[in-house]
Amino acid sequence: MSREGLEARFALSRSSSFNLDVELTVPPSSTAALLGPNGAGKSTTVAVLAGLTGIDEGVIALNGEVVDDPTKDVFVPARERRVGVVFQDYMLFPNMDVVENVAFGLRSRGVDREQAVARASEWISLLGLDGAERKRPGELSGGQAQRVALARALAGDPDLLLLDEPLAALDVTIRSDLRRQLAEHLSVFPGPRLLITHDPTEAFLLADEVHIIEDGSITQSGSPDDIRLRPRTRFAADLAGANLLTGVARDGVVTFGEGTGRDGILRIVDHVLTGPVMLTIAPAAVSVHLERPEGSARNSWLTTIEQLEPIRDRVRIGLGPPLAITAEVTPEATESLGLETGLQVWVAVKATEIGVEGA
Amino acid sequence: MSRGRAEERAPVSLIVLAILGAGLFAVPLLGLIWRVPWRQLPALLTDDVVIDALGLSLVTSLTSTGIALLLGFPLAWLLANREFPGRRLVRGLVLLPLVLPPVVGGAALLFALGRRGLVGEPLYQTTGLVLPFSIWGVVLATTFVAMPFLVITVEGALRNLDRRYEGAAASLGASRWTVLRRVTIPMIAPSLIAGMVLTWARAFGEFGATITFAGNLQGRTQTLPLAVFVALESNRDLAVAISLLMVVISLAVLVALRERWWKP
Amino acid sequence: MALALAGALAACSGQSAEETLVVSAAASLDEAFNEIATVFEEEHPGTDVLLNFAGSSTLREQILEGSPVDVFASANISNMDAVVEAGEISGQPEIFALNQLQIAVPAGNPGGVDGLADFSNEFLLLGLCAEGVPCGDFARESLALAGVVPAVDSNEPDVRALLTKIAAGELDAGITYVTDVVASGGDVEGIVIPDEFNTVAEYPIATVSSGTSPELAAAFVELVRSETGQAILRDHGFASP
Repeated sequence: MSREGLEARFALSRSSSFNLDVELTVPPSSTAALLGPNGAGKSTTVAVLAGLTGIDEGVIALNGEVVDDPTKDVFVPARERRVGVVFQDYMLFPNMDVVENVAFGLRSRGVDREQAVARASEWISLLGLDGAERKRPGELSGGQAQRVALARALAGDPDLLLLDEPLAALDVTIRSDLRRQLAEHLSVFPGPRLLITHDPTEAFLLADEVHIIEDGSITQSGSPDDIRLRPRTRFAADLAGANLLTGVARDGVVTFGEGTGRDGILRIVDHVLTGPVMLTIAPAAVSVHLERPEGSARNSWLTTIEQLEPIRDRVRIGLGPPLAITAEVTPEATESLGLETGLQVWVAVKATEIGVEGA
Repeated sequence: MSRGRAEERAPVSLIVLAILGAGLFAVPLLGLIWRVPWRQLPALLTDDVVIDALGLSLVTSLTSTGIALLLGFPLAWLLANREFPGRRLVRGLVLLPLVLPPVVGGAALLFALGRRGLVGEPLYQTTGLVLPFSIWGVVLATTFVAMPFLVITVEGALRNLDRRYEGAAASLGASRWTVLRRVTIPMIAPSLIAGMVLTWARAFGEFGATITFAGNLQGRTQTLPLAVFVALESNRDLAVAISLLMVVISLAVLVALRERWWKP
Repeated sequence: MALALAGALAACSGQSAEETLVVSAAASLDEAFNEIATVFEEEHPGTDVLLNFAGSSTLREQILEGSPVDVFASANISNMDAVVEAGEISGQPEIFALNQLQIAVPAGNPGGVDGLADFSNEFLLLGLCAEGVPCGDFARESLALAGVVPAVDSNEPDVRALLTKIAAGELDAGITYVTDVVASGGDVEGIVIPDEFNTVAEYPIATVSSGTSPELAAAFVELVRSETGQAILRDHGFASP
């Protein structure tokens, strides 16, 4: 067993219908995502790991130190646990300005005023918040508030960083920019990082390892690609539904660089957007043909079936180069077309079915 | 004051009722002002009776407010944050002085804490302490009627506070006392202050419980309201002068704190 | 205030003003006047007697402020005179009862009080009626006559309030009327004040001009001064003039 990072294996019940049973390991310098719908138990997990609630069974250890173990009567409460939390809605103290908020953890732990302010100011600079020091939380933009919350959590040198839906409160238009910034900031923190979210894009882009939680238990853990290509449950399949591709757009054409495992181009609707982009294609929007298709789809190409995976009432088809994406068809179609691994097929995607976002 | 185009004029019946309502407050005040003997006012207000009563009123009302804060805040905190058996009963007890006629409150205090009272008698036997007819009697009577305001206001404010702030503070390493001092209290400050002002005002104006429990003696227990009552019988001008003094003091306090009153 | 409301309510309850009689009487007349009122209601069926008890000075103020009172029975002459001077009395006030002061102590006399001299004892809890209230003024007169400088702990707004505290044992002694000691039954004991220090309180009664039932008012005053009324008053400790 590794002696660092987060090791958690626990169960608790809140009511007859709510039972949480989680096993989670997050190594240092890595980001894990806990991905699931609302009500799955994500917030309770945050409370448990932060030390705001105790577990019924199991063990939670941070950097080798046990912080919660009912059988040994060990429970380290939140204020003694070194967990930095970025809460949903950030919970910045409205009666304090940015510096005081960021310095709060240090001051609470006994650091004297001058030192605390100095260290807080370092973090404020690091997160690009220079100039906002004296502002009150109410005067900050969504993005600034998020960064203040992050600075506040990190300033105390925590052993674990927990982020509860850190981007949910932000406007969709700035979300991707801030997602990128968040990824940079996260990489600065040497400890384990756990991101709790219901947004698969967030999870897949920010995390090294994704844990899918449904109804109180983890149903699948793996790298984003693992989950995307080999979802184990219907829910995971839905989550991983979108094919995510990054490329460069210009005049309505997106090119995919060499070495990305994706060659070729895709035509998109937006002729204005230029530069790095992220494309989402629902597998159900990918149609499979035995011959070159006629029709309105602007994108069609020849490829090979690498994988066939039936999941309940659908079949997921993993396709190979030039563009490795997943298609979804009915079992009947699979049969009638005689689809099987290794078969060469034509694939079509309408430009209108491709979601585009600046990356 | 210009009205936006879309804003309709308020219904006439509403305006009429509102004017009547405002009148209910304004007319008695005007009646009082009409009777003020302006020329004798300085002499009346510097009378011994008034000076003594004013000093007593200020000291006792402020002390009451302090005690209400000291005892009421923890009570409010427990009522807001902890489930305990009998919680509803406790809250009912706290509300009782609000609905009880003050004289009944004073009588109850007398039966409990007077020399022959339930608690008062053993207290008297062992320590010789007599609460009625003393300044502490006044403080006790005014605290009894005024403290509910503080408890109710603070409890309401604490309930409306998002608990997650305290969770955030805890996760940052703050002890319970630090959370209270740096997060909870500053965040409920407007309500807390409003509660304290209400409490003070109630204590300042208390009459029935005071006269019943503490008695009426100039310099020891005769607060401004009692002085007015007694003066009404023999010296109406003095009564009006003291009444005016009380109105002015109360208005001054309200005006000084008006912004806090409305800030959410 | 309360009287005006009472008058209005009586009017609303379907009785005409002629059938309601409002009597303001000094606090010490409580029990006696309740009995007299019952007799009056029996003799005048359909009539409602509303009794308003308070300190005589409070009652005086109410009348002077224009409360619609029919009959005023005061515990001293000066309060009645004030009302007469203001022109509020119709006819002539008549003395209808006499009262004397007495020292009242809680049953058992825990303070060991035996006379007026004890009223200068600082270690006793002593009460008087407030100045301006007839009982209070008379008491101070008595104490002055006896050469006693009182160490008072409370000046109660009316005699009943004073009595309540004495009966409860919260005060060791107070000066009230003989009638009050009688009215308190076993809770309060009386200690006689010698005649040379005592005052005779004369109680005047009169009909008030702003009243709404002048005929009934006159009839009530007659009943009070009749042998029936006087007998009731004597039962409660008053003396007849």
